[in-house]
Amino acid sequence: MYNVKLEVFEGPFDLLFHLIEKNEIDLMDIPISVILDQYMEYIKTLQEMDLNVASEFIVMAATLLEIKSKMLLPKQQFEGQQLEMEEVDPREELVTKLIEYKKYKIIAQTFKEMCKIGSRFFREESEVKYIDKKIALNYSSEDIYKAYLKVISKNNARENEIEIKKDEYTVENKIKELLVKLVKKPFLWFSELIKKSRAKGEIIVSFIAVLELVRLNRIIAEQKTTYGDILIKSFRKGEKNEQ
Amino acid sequence: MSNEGKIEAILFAAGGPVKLKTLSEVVGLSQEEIVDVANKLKEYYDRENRGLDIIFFEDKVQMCTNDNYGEIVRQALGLEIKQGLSQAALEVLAIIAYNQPITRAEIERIRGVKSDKAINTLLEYNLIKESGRALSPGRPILYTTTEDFLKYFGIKSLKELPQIEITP
Repeated sequence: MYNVKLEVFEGPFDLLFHLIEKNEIDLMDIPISVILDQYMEYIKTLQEMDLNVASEFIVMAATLLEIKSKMLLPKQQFEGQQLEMEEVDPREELVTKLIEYKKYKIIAQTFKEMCKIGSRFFREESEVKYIDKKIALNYSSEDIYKAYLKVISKNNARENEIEIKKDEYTVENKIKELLVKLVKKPFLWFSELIKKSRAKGEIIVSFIAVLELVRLNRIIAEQKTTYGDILIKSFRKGEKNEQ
Repeated sequence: MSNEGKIEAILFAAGGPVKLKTLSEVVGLSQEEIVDVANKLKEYYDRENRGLDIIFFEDKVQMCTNDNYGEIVRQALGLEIKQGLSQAALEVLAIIAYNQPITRAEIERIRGVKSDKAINTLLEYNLIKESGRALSPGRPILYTTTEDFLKYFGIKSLKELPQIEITP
C-alpha cells in the first residue's frame, strides 16, 4: 500500500509538502518533530524502493533530524533581548527551499491547464507546397551538363584537401616500450620515461600508457608530493597495489 | 483577392510558422495590420466553429488545428498519442521556463530529486533544447525552452508566462 503511495511523491520536497498540507501546518512555523516522525514512517517503507530514489529521501530525513536536534539545544541566554532576536532559525534554509519548490509546483499546475500537447496539430512541411504554373525552365541540357561539371570539380577539390596523418605515437607502442624498460630495471621514474620525448603529444601518450597499465594492474605508480616525479614499478602478484 | 484570403493561403501552404515581417512585405500591409487581419481570420474560425486555428508566437504566425478537434484528428490520422506531461516533467519545465538557461544540477537543487528522466521527456517532446554550456566546472549543458513550447502553451513569448506571486 505504501509503495503505491510513495510513487506519487516526486521527491523529498514533494513528500514534505504532502505532510505539511495534511497537517495544515504553517510553513513559517513547522513543528519539526511532528513532521520528522511522519516522514520517518514513510522512510521505513523505502527499503523496497530503488535505492537511488531512496537516497534523496534519506538525505532529507538526515536534514530534518539535524534541524530537530538544533532546535532541542537550549538557547543561550544573553542579557539583552536583542541578541536573541538575531539567532537564526535552524528551519530557515529548509523553508526557503520549500517555498521556492512550492512556487514551481503551482506553476506546473498552471502549465498543465495551458498545455495543448496531443490536441493541437501542426502541418508537417510538405514537399510540394505550392505549384506555380508561371515558372518555366529556361535552361538547355547543356546548362545542366555545365552545372554538373561544376559540382564535380568542387567535390574533387575538396577531396584533395583531405590529408590523413598517421598517429606518430600510440599508447599501445608506449605500453610495450615501458614494459620492456621495466624488465631491464625494477623501477623507473616518469621523468626518465619522457626524457627523450620529441613532442608534447608523445609525453601525453606516455602518461596515458602509465594510467592504462595502472588500471590493468601491471604497474604501480607512486607520487610522493603534488607535482612530484612519478615512480613506476612493475606490479607483482601478492603485492598490494596502493594506487 | 482579399487580405484575409492572402494570409490564409500563405499560412496554409507554409505548413510552419511564417514571420510577420515576411507577410507584411508580401501582402503590403504593416505588421500591425497583418496581426489584425490574422486575428479576424482567427475570430472567424472560432465563430464558425471551424477546424482551424491561428496562433501567434514571437514574431511569427502559424496555422494549426483547433484543439477542440484534436481527438478526431488523432483518430483519423492514426497519430501516436502524445500523453500529457507527468507532474515531474511539468515541474522541470516550469523551472526551466522561468530560469533559462539553466543546468540540470540547478534544476535538481530546486526539486531536491534527480530529474534526468523528466528532462529527456521534455527533450523528446521538443519543449526544451540544449543551448550551449555553462562556464562552470565540467561545462554542464544549459537548457532553454523551444518555439514548440510557446506553440503548445499558446503564448507569444516568454514575457507572457504567468506571473506567480507566492505568499508562504
